[in-house]
Amino acid sequence: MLKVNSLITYLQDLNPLPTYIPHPHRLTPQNAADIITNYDLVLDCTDNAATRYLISDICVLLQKPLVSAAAVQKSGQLTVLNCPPTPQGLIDKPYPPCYRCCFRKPPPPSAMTTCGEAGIMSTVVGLMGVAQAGEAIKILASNLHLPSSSSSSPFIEPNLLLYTHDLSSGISPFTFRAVKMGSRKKTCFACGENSPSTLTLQGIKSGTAPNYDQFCGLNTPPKNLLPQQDRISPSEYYHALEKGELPPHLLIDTREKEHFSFGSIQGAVNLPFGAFLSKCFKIKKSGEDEKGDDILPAEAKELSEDAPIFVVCRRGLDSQEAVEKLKELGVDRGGKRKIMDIRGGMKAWKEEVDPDFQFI
Amino acid sequence: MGSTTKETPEMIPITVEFSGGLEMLFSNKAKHSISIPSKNPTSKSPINIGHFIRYLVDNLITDDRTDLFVLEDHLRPGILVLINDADWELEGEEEYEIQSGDTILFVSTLHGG
Repeated sequence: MLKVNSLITYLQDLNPLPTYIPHPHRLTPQNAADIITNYDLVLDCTDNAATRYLISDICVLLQKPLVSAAAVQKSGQLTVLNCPPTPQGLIDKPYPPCYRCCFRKPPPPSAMTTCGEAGIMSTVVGLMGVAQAGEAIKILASNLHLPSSSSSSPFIEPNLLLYTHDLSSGISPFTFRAVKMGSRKKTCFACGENSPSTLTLQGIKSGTAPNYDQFCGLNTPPKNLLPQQDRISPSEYYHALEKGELPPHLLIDTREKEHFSFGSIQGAVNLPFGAFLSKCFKIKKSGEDEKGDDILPAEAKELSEDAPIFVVCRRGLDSQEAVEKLKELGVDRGGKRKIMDIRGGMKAWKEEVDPDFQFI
Repeated sequence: MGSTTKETPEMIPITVEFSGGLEMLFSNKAKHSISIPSKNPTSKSPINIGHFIRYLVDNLITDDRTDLFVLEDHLRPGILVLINDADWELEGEEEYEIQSGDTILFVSTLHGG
């Protein structure tokens, strides 16, 4: 069942009075304006940067207020944008900011965490959602969704609400924190002084200006760090193991311990990537004090000095980096010890070897 | 005044905080109470946020992945800096001169939902 239908079923149960209209399509630069134009207010509950920039740009052009909420792991962020909506290009006094005014550029893809990877605490999404709904009601009830071109319209100090579900967080002892944001930026691509010439509905629809995927770095091909001889496919590894062709070896799984606890390849030892990198960093900084081999889990000591090492991760990127780091630390004994990446990670393991594996 | 002894740099106490995942680069600790030199060692000008970001990379980071914090000598895109609970753009961004007792919060922006 599509998420949108599941949501509507649930909402109808909760409150049958409103009219719920499903849009069972992915929001794209081609259809976004035609959908959004029918509504007075937009709540952004999406899960990726490219869609967030697209929604904000359309809201600027169609003069719709936007309530934007995001959540990953234990943190949430909420902000009201473009409210009350004001035409593009006005900068004679403080006007409400758009998403680009607050977040000029997206992080590089490598730094973007998704809920699928990092996990998500349901109470965090719940809280952000309720707060988001509250803001929406406030806006509609006070007519702040109506476009204003008159200079008499109120200026509401822009805020960003941060929430962290963590006793030891930076936001503690108060888990909520509201911070002051700036108003519309003169140089903003979407709503600033020259924006009518940089951002148009036609430009978005044609997919050229802006190109959201490119802006968010989604067009860069996946890295293939390691040469072929340092990589082995999950099925090659599995068959070699089954036939007894593999000598005693160390299999390192670099996923976080939560992922690892849901299932792993038999014999795998968990060495979470984050902890692995900090340890690498410490060893490198300490110079001679610590040996490269100190990075390895205790299980390595039960094996011979040259026992091969295989590294697996979730999707096959961290493991390649881990193989590189191990070599940098000299764990490969200048090539005498084989260190190999299991290509494609546990995702490929599920596809090639074990369809019952619970890939999360 | 007239003294020839080498001055020890004056230090100022500040609080620096990391949120939204950035704490993992700083010994997994979200809140650090630290003292930093009040002047930039090379130019002798008061330490500003730009210097301070470099100072963090040289002194406080505990992870190899510095590119998750700085790119090309500037803060990487997707990190908000809040100086005493206000967006750094209201305070002059990298040019803001750090004052004793300031709280500087680095938050990575979230896109999930």
